[in-house]
Amino acid sequence: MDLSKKRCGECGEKAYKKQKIDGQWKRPWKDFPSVFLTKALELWVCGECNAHAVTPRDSEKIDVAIEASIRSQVSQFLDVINAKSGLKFETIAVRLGYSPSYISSLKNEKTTPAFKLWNQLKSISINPKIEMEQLDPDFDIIGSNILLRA
Amino acid sequence: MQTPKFDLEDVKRRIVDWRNGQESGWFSATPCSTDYVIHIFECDQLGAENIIFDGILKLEESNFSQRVSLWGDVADEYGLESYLGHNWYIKFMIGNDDDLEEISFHPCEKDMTLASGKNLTTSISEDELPHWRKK
Repeated sequence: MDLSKKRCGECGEKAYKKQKIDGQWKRPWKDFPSVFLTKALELWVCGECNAHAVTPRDSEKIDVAIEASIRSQVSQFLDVINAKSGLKFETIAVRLGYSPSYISSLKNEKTTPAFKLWNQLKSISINPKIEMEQLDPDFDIIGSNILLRA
Repeated sequence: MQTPKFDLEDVKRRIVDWRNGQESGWFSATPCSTDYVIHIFECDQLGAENIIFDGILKLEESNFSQRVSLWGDVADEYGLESYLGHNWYIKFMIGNDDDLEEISFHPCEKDMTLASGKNLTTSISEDELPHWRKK
């Protein structure tokens, strides 16, 4: 469908252009408030207000690109956590409270996690050694002075 | 009593064609339609599209509210009561090039009166609004 002469439903301008989109996708998807696209896709975008239009068959393309981006990111977060913490994936799974088979399916990009887990893994992968030590169920909570009451 | 500009059966035919992959329609304002539905149901893009298609296919003439002016064109507004737990505000038009432009499909953010005189109440609270609709 050619939108080049159609008016944008957001700003009213006739300024649609086909554009390759990657990086920040500031639109919700499932329980994600927004997504970071590492797999690019092409959509009609308003040159005036940057609003996206969705034409037939775009929805499937959008879902495929977003799902592939999230799965790839999570797999990479797990690789970083494994490499920097020195922990096996089985141990990482236990510390996060998930089954090893679920973590393995994330590692192999077979499953799309919920936003909460994606965000947790993203956060842990920034400083995996410290974060994974703190997630150890046997972590010394007395020595770390985080209990305020007996 | 005001009547719709666009024949509802014709609109529904375009929705069925669109669902079957034909280039008969498009979403021109996703924050007011697919993004809003994703926000409510935490579904994917295709899921949102299907919720919208099913909702429009449920419309009857009695759901018509009014004709509204939009960027110099005329669109039809409808209100759909009690669909998936909400009352819905729906707006679409058929453009000069004969494509169905789906503009709005979201829970009623304020009370809405249909052409028949029936009232649809607001069905989303301030807390539930997506961040891009908050004042």
